Amino acid sequence: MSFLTRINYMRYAKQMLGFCVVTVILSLVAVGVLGLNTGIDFTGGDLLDIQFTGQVTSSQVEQAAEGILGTVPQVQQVEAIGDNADQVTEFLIRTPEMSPEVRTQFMNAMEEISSITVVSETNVSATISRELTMNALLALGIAVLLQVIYIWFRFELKFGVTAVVALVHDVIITLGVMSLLQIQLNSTFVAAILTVLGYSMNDTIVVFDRIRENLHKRKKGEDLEELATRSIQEVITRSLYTGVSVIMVLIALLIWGGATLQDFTATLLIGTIAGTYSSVCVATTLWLFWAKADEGKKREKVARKPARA
Amino acid sequence: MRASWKRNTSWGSALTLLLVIVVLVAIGVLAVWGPESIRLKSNVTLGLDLSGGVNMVLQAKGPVDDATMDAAVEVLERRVNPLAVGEPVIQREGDDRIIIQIAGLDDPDAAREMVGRTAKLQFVDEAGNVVLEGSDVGKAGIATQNGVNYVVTLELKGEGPDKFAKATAANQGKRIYIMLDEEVISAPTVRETITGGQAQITGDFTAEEAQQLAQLINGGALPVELEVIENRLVSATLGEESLTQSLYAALVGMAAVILFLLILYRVPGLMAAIALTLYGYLTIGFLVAVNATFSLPSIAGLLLSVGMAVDANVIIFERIKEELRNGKGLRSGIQAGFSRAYAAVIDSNLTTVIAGVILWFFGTGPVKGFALTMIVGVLLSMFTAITVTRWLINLCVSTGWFGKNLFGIKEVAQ
Repeated sequence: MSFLTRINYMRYAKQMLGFCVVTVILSLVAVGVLGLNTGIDFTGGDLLDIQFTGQVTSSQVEQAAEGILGTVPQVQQVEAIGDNADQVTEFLIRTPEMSPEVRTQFMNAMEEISSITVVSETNVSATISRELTMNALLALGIAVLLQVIYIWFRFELKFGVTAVVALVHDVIITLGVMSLLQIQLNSTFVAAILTVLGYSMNDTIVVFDRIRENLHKRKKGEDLEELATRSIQEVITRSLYTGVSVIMVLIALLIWGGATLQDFTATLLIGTIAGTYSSVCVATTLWLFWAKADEGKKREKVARKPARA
Repeated sequence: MRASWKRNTSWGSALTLLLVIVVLVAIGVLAVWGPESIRLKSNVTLGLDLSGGVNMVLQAKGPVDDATMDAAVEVLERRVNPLAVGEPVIQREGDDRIIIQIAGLDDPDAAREMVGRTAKLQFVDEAGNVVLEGSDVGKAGIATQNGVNYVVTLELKGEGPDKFAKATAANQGKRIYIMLDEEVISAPTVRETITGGQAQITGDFTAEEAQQLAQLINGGALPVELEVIENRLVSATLGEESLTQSLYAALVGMAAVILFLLILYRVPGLMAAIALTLYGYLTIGFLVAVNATFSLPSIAGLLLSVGMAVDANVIIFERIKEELRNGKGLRSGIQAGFSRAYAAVIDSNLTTVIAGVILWFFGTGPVKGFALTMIVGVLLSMFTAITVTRWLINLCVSTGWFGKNLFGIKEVAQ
């Protein structure tokens, strides 16, 4: 790993930032073109996980459902669970919101295909889904604002603002990859994104903490670029180790955690990876450009003063 | 003299370390295989996503007051209790919502029907005035009229007899409509003033129909119409599957992290692993003590705070290595490493706590559980990573077995 502590990181500041700008634009394009796979928690509707006895095809289910709903719902075959998993076929069926009457008809139509067992059923009305979306946005906004204030208080505004730009980057990249892979957004998405923000902020702060420390004992004439590079070199091992251990836990969850947690874990995994490199590629580079510009201005002032005197 | 003193402390510290490990292992063994009463499994409250069950959110249609909502909760309790295996949760949320949680209920239709049947009973006069309401009715039964027709008998309560007497007095010769859920089920003509507090619903009922109607009324007339705005059902099979899988994933994740720590840091890594184990016990213990519900998201939250706990250790150990490399001695290097790492550890953890607190405020149900475990986890992990690991590392140093090689730094003659 020791080569990592020798890279002259900030020499590539422009390239790193450029890479991040490009990926952010690509993510936005992905979201714009492909859209997000929003689950019923955000759109309202019903999600049924049903086991049919014997072999049933998804077109059978689709046809029967269309007879009741008038439209073809999303039907997806999933691996059956339980003791008699080998004697049943299991499907995830997503329908628009159904009234109690329509739901009864729907269940009867399913029962006509072959006898059914409901593994799980979720109905979310439009009222709830609107509330969830609003609450999610509000929670995100407040969390980010409080974090900026905290960093402003503990460090200085430059650190706070650039750290938040890194957070925005993480959210956009996460959404972009989710859109590309069509990972579903559901109510736990909000929890996942907030966790990513917490983690990404954590990671950025470790780098910034070191920059802060090095600024305090800065030797006269030490270049800011050198200082930032040295700070990264000093903490890069830690970033890597921590990143690897968090990612290991997430991969374990993704592989063995079962279907229920899959979307949640995938969101976390993407966000964590983005959050790890954004500390250097976005937060530190931006801070460096800003701090250099500030210092340039100060130097101008200092240079001008004696001239006036 | 000095040598023997050193040897004594060395064995004392080693013994303490050994004792810590033995105690931690013993607690783990007891929590998993110990007597029923102290076993972890029998002391945790599992969320519906892990135990299986139904979670419903109901919303009143139209404006309601507090008393009406409280009455509705009472009625629902009476209806739900016979269905539930364990203790069902029926509680109000906000002004016009009710949450129902029934663990272990597998039948998606049973719960819906219980709630769906609003059974709003009303007696209405010809002018359309409501003269008697469901809340005035005490008990419904069935009886036969002339031994042929079945009727539903109603015992009125509270102001019911009074109201009914007035209504029957005022409506002599007119009809009073008995309506259930806005549907007229019977429209008898009033012949005399009825004061005894007894009323009857006559109709073309068979014995079964009369019985059903009586039960419906007994189940309690809901004082307000409720709409299911959210309904989540998880079968026991899926719950069990999720529980097994998430525990397995948690074990694998923990094992991987501990292995990683051991490979990276050897002896200090082992100390960190011991501190992590203690951290796990403390967090789970705290959550059990406050009777928090363990759902899938809270297990995920727990695992993620493990990540944070490891992070704190990594930050500290890397710092110690740096101090040692810069020429500090073992003891002073460790001391400097810990105290210099504090700022980074505290700042980075507190921002996570901020995110957690916001989540806790805005989240509902499982998301709240996730937030709680994350907050508790991060705070406790700071404690164990800083205090406990430090104590353990100092114990290691006190054994006198290690030099700077404890952190993989070669001793350089100065």
